[in-house]
Amino acid sequence: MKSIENYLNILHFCFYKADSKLHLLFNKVNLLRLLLKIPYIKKRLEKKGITDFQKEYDKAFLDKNSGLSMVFAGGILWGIVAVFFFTLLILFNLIVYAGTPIIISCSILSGVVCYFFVFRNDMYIQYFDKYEKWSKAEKRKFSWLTFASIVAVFLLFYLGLKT
Amino acid sequence: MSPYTYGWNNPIVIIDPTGMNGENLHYLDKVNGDEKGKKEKDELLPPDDFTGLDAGGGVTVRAPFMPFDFSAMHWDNQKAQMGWEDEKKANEGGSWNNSKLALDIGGGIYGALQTTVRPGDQWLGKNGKYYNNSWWGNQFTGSRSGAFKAASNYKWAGRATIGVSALIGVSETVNGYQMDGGQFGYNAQSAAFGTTGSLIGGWAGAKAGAFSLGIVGGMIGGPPGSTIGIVVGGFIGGFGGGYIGGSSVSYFHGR
Repeated sequence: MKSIENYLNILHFCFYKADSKLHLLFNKVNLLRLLLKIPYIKKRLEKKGITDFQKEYDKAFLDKNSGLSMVFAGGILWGIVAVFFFTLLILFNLIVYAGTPIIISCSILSGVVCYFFVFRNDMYIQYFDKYEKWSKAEKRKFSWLTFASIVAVFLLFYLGLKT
Repeated sequence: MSPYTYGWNNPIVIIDPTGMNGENLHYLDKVNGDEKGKKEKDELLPPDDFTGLDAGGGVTVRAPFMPFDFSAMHWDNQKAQMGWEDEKKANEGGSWNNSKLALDIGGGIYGALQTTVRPGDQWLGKNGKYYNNSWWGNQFTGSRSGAFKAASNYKWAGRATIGVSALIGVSETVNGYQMDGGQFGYNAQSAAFGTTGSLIGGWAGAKAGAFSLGIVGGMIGGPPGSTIGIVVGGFIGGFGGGYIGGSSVSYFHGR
């Protein structure tokens, strides 16, 4: 059980990190940032107490407690686990068509698993603190593990369709 | 019988010799096994020279529709003891589109609300002002724990809507695969790329929307700008991404 918890938290952490990296990449290509160079906008924001809009914007997305990236990472984890359960049903020839009851069942099961292993009382934050200390080699290793896990789920899904 | 409802709008896979109900050739294979299924399939198919209409007055559309390679229908699993209702749903195509769109919008709204109620190291009081996390609140602002609880609920709802939306995309792909007669054809590709496009578009749209409308909100004096930006941007991005994904597949298939 502990290893499942650790594994799911690693996935969650890597999804969050991937989203963070993409966020920073998006910042680099975001032409809307030029708006902040306009003196009127700059002055108006300062007048309203926003001295660094970019920082506020990044915080709204990347904060570990309440950032939108956390919602996105959690949603992707939820979806991947749900797709995994759904894939098992297809792989073991239990269903052929995806009816509404199947979708609801897989979603609820996935939600329960994610709740007990990752989301309960925001326990993922402790894991995040632990994973932040990873060495570069470890970060690379677990990033590949996450990538391989996603590929494996969709490969199984494809095999399930074909068999 | 309306020709537009013939075979649950899927005349490639389903035939309807009686005009009363559709029969899925593929389904017969699965339920009866290859040999028996093939025999029944042959009995149900119109003769090669069949061109006419029903003599009973009603129009029964059962034109020779056989430019289809049945060898591709290899979903012959004995597992297929599924109900006919499920199969109809699989062939209705796009029946979850509205649910998916609603979920995508919901995901944006909940995510935005969560960020609004608890942006970083602050929380939103009942009086509409922000306070540092170190302060507990009072009778005018409401309690900090109440704001945290609300943010947590929004976070849960946001996660759920994104997760379920992704699963619906995968489910649509499965049903598309079935509609394509056991191949990763047009319907399956359209569902898969539409979902992927919707996720990527929604993500990018939320970021762009939060930035642009966030600036407007900041200039006016409050966070609703970024909240609205996330919702509007996520919606436009998700809708546009899904459209581009689906349209690319249509373009590729020349439809």
